Amino acid sequence: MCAEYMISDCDLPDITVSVSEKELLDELLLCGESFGRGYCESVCIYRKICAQLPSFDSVMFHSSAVSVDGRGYAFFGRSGAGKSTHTMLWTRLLSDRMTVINGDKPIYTARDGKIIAYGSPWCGKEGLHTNKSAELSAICLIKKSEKNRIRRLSPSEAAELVIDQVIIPKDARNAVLTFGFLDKLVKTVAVYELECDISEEAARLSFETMSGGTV
Amino acid sequence: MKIKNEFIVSSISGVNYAVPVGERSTEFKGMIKLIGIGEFLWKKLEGGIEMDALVDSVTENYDIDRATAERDVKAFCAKLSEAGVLAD
Repeated sequence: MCAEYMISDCDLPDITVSVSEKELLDELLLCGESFGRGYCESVCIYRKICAQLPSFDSVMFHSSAVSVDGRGYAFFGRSGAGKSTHTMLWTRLLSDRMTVINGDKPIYTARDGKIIAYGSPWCGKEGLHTNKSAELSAICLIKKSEKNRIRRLSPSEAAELVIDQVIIPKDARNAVLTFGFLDKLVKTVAVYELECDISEEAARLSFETMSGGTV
Repeated sequence: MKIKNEFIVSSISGVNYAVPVGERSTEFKGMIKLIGIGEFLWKKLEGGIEMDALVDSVTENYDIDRATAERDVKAFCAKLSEAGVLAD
């Protein structure tokens, strides 16, 4: 699962995680028996990694991150809002111009005044991920609607919607760090709210608005 | 009156949010956006303050008559109390 991400020239890892048998069994109980030990182990491990990310000015968002012509775009939204579908529609429209960085749980890092989206091996059931990164140009918050409409949000409007997309850590230190990250995110990246009917027209609208280019 | 412990206040794009952490996060589900005078009142309540003193500080710092201030501050505190944010 992690083969693409292995590195050999590393003395000291930044993050070290492990999962106990008890934690694994608790997760199995939570997930249900149809999910095997392997899946549950990977969920526990990623959860532990993500808990430490704020110390690295990073946060994992349940979202889809892609790059088009080298520029990063992310789709945020509640479960079932259409992130995966929209990603697929963009793939159809943009083909080779586009790479899916991670279709479900990418890691975002604030560095040098930018927000960068990173691939990771933990992705959704579509299995879309790659060990690549891209500077985030825009975020698209997706909501299902009958009509297609997109608008740019102000940083404070974006703040409220983006908070909804992340799990705020329960410990004070990491909660503060997460808010610090969210503050940088809304000030650095253009955030749009897209109401859409999950059509090619919606995908065209979102891409052309956020990129300033054409399909 | 005093805000219970284990709430932190953090801001995003200049807007302050009061967020429960630690044990408080299991008891209080959600967060509180502090806008306008809400931020001022929260800070006063964090240190613990009586109702009269709180109303006094509002009339000292804002251009508002005492009756209105008292009504609004009581309403604000009642909301916090109902939400389980204030310690007795």
